[in-house]
Amino acid sequence: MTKKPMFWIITIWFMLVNAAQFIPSLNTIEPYVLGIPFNLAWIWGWNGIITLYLIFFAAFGAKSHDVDEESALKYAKNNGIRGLK
Amino acid sequence: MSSIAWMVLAGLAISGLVYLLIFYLAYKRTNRKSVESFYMGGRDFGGIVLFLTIGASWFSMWFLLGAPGSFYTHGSGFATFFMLNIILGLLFFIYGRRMWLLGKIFNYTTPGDLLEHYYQSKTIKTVSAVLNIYLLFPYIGIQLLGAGLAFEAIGSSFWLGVITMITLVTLFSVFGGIKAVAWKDALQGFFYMAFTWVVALWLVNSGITGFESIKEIFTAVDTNYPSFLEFPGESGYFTPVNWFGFAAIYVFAGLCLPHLWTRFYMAKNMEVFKTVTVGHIAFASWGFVPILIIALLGKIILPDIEQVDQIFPLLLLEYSPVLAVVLIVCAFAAAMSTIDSQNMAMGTVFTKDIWLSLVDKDSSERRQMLAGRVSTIMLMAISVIWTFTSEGSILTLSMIAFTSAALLFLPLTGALFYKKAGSRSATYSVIVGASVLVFLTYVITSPFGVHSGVYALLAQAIVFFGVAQFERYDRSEHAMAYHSLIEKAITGGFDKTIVTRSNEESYDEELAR
Repeated sequence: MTKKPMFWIITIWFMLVNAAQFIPSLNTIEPYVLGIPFNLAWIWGWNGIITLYLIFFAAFGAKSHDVDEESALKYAKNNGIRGLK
Repeated sequence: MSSIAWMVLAGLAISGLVYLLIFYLAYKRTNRKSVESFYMGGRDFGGIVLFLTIGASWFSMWFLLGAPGSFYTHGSGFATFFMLNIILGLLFFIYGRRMWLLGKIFNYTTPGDLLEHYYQSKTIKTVSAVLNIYLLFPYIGIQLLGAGLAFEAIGSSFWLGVITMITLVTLFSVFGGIKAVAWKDALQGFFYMAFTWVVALWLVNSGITGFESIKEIFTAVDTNYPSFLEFPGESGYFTPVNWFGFAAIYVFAGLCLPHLWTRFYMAKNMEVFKTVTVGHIAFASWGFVPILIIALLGKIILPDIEQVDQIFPLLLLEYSPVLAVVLIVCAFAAAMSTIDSQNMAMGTVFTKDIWLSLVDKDSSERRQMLAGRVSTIMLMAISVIWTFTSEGSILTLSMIAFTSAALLFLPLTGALFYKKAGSRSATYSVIVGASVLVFLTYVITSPFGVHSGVYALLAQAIVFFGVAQFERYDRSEHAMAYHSLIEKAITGGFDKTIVTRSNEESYDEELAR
């Protein structure tokens, strides 16, 4: 997965999860959702979705790499990184 | 002493034996003459241990006592903690992986190592070391104070609590090493997190409190305290500015507190950060759900208590003294997991950034270890004196501690992402931010009811990005190469398996041609 879609997904989640701070109609107790006040359910709902997304991302989207220190240090030296011992 | 006091002491003795067993196992696996092994654990921590030790060190005693008290006081305004811990988990992934790979390549052990190397400035290293050590004094002091108060609350001696805590954390941080600390943290973190969930579910489902469901609890709170569940909450403190301000301070501090920053260098590999991210979100963001339930029940059942931090133990004492005993054992564990991590961080920062950098550059490894251990004991002694002489100002100091850590976030961001900012942007911005913080905390009251840390971070951001426009560090070969190295490493440019595979592919293609 590229960085751009992830950036937008996180940005949209952030806007939605904080929307009740600014939109009075979201900052209400009624209706209760599964016994939870609406404004709190609003936060937990979006948090639940982003949590599932991040689990999915960690399992299938993100790539991890090993780092070979020797070649990295060689690269650092050749490209002018200072302060190498 | 009362029977509860004896039960608490028995609980602490049993848990103490388990800690000693962990200590022994880790002690055998640590080379106590090697700085790398003692302070960095050989850089081979897996995902589960790393996320639990990060979570346990991050939360401290505040999670079990302070957080229910804050929900009790502020109501829904405090729900910013549900959101900010998800962002923090994400930053562990985005920043943590980069910090890990730089630590692995350049052998960094402290925050100052990374900052000094990128900015090529000893000043920023010294500033960060001073901030790191200074901010830990009140933080450690509060945990010790909490241990003393917990003992006092059960009818035992205040000083017995403090001395027991000091003895245990000294054992782990001066003789055990980071592996002993991290393994014990992991167990303690898992234990007290599971405990809060079990207690909250039991209080809701057993009907013992007179409520049969979560909705009944919410409805009762809403009926008795109409503004409690709506933003900004009952106290009115968590206005949007303070809501986002708290989020920023806690998220930045969560990444830059020295005992957490150094944890990122200790990961076994990059894959570990997936577990750390998901684990932290489950542990820290969703971990506040039972805390909220406990605070809500406290609001209805014990509406007029004076010390809000006692809401959790007092609530449990109403229904189950045995669980109250377990809570105190858990709170002790939570405090311990934070202090010994902080002690280790103080020892590392002092040895590397002060001793080795400013006092004795040619120090042997044995001498470094001695300096680290002696400094840990001395700095902890200063924390104790600080705590018991500063009296009422300790809470103010703890907020300063978090904001001070948050002030290192922009210099870190410069090193990892923002090429324009050089040493001047980093150093001046930290100094300006710290000055604003001290001025608005001690000299005048922070204007408009906004937390002084918010102004400090704003002032820092203005200086950091403002000076960077003139400094233009991105024109330096060193800065460009440093960023290009990060980009190459994070995308697998130094991954042997990828490089070998692509070589084989090109060889096959060549053969085919």
